[in-house]
Amino acid sequence: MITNNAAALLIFPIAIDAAAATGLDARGMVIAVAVSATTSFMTPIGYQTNTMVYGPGGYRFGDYARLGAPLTVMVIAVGATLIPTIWG
Amino acid sequence: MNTRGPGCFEAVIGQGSRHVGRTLREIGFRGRYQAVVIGIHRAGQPVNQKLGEVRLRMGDTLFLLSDAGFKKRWSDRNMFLLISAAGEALEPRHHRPTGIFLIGGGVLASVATGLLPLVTAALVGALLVVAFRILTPVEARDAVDLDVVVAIASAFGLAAAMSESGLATTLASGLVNASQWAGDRGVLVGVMLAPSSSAR
Repeated sequence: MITNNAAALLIFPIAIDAAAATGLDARGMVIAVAVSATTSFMTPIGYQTNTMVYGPGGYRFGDYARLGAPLTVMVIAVGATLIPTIWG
Repeated sequence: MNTRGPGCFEAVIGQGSRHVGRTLREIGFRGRYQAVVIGIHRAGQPVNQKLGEVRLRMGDTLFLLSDAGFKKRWSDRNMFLLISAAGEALEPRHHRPTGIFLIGGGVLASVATGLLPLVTAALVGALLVVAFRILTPVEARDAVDLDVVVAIASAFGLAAAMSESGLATTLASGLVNASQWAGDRGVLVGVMLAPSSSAR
């Protein structure tokens, strides 16, 4: 459980190496990391704003995963479709 | 803000708070914060227990009676996610939003067009925000989140170590092997899953 910025930085070298191994554009790979590091919808502690609405909204912990998981899948699907098209 | 006289506040327990899982009595709340808890709300419902014995959870809202300086004293710390004076829904910001949009847009545009390096543009933008009095110098200084700066600075070191030691290459080839059956897009999905599963 680390901040999304730190997570992006840690995955960054892996993404660069993965790009080199596959022949994908490194730039697109890095953008994929940046986008996915910002999609913290799955838990109330994923981002400050998630926590802010947690109490007042009367949400349960699982509510975040219930709505966050499909949203995350959507972001990844859209990313995997668009990123190779734009930064091919 | 007037720092005299009593005031009523709402404070939300944050995730980084050391108080999660402890009771007000264990914390010694009154002595430590110079504030009396008059109610605890959890998920929109008042908690009907002896207040001193409630184990605090993240997201609990404490209703507090304190002096008017309470918010100023504690809002920079990570004990509370946010503190608002009761009845004050959102902190009113009196600056003109157009100014900050122009500056922010200018920073983005000058970097995107390659006119300025990112650091230069960001520093010029920050200077303009203070120069046009959108933020006072004190507010600008307080706006820097040191926790995040330290986390990112440390992550740079870790990232360099991962590259140097070959860990990044090992993990990358593992990732590529695991997702290659789905083609290049599969690898991309794997890369996107990695930070999201750690940042969650």
